Amino acid sequence: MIFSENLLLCIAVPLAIAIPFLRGNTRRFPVCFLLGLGVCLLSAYISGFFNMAFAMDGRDTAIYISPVIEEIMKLLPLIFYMFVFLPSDEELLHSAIAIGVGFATFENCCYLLTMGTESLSFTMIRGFAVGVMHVVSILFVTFGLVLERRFHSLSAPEVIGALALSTAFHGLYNLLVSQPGIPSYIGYGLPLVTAALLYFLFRKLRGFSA
Amino acid sequence: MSVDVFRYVVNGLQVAMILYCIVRSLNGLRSQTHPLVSVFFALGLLCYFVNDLYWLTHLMMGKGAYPPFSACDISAIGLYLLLSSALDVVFREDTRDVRVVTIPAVVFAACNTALWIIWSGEWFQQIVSGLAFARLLSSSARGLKCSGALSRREWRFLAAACGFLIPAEAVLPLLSGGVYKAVDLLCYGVMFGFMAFFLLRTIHEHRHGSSDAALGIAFAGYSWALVTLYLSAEPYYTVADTIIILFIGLMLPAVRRKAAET
Repeated sequence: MIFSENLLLCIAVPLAIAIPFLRGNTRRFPVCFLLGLGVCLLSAYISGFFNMAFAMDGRDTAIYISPVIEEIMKLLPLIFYMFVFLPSDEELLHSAIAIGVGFATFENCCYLLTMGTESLSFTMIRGFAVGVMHVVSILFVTFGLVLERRFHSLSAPEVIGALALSTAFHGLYNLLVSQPGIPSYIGYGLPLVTAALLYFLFRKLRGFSA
Repeated sequence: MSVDVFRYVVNGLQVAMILYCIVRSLNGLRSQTHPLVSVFFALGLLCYFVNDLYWLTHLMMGKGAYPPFSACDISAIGLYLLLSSALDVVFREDTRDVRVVTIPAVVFAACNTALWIIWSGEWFQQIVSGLAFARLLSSSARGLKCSGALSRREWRFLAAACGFLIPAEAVLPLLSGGVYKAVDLLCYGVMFGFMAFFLLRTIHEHRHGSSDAALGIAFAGYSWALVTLYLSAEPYYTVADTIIILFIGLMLPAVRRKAAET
């Protein structure tokens, strides 16, 4: 039994205290990282609610419900930041990465505290697979948002479309890793391969404008 | 070959075709004059790609039906929205009044949604999917109207087909015996007949028509194929899913042609 709120406080307090001492753009990363931590906890609450409401077991909730909740929750602070503060594309991408990293960090911490850290392979999988997956899935959405904004074509259907893509990717990962054997190995490799593909796509589209 | 094995083959082919279309549509993006069409098309197909992979994995794992709003259903919503955005990018400058086709398209999508709800018993997810589907159908109708791809006579036939299909599919469960078989066969005849019509017209527009007409008819054909797919039961469902591979392949040259147009 872990108390996620205590864990959140433990990670968040040093960061929160550090923020007033930082200036300008350097503040953005810890602020978004903190948002990622908070959003992860809220997602767990909401997933828990649906788990009870639909009388599903934990595994089915992780496969079917969590991807939808988590991706929507990760997108909300990003959308707020984008429409209220009107950041540049670069700033939006950095913020998205920080939210994704914060989310993955908190989820990994909770998971490792629950399951133990004795097995190195298990901790490596948590880091390289789940950790990268949360960053990649939020990058999918942000990538869509940046492109749509660059071409003056940002509207609700396009945002929902990009969100659907990231949710489907997250759902596919969760489905693959839920099955032992070859499907889980494919699942563990999926985020890293997708991250590499996204990196090449970013390089290809850098400086690309309407 | 059993139906299950055939479904694997069809989905494998679909995944390969989608992957090819994503790579080809993003190829040479920097030199395109309308790159946003290609970007939305590629993003839409990426949703389709993940959808197919998810479905294949689900099938291979031998899991039962997935609950509403699983990643598979959500990626389908993403597909409808992003493909309709690809069309809207091209035709949004056109200021003509197209309500004469978009309103019936939305009504047709609403009737389809009602049928899905009756058949599946699941209403909330079907309404959400239906809203996205309505956007795809109205964008396709708008594309057809603005590009002038269909003649007045063809529009009348299409309207008659839509007008026949919905009541026929609605009363089908109430019928039995020979009448049921006749109406069922007639419905499939109309749906697959129009699929063949859209296939031939798309090829014709690719060769002789404008880029707008080719794009409009290719997307409308794909939308019609989706309508057919969702109104079909096995083995017609698998046949429609197989023909959809052709429509995906036919959308690609239309998108590339429009994107490269000066």
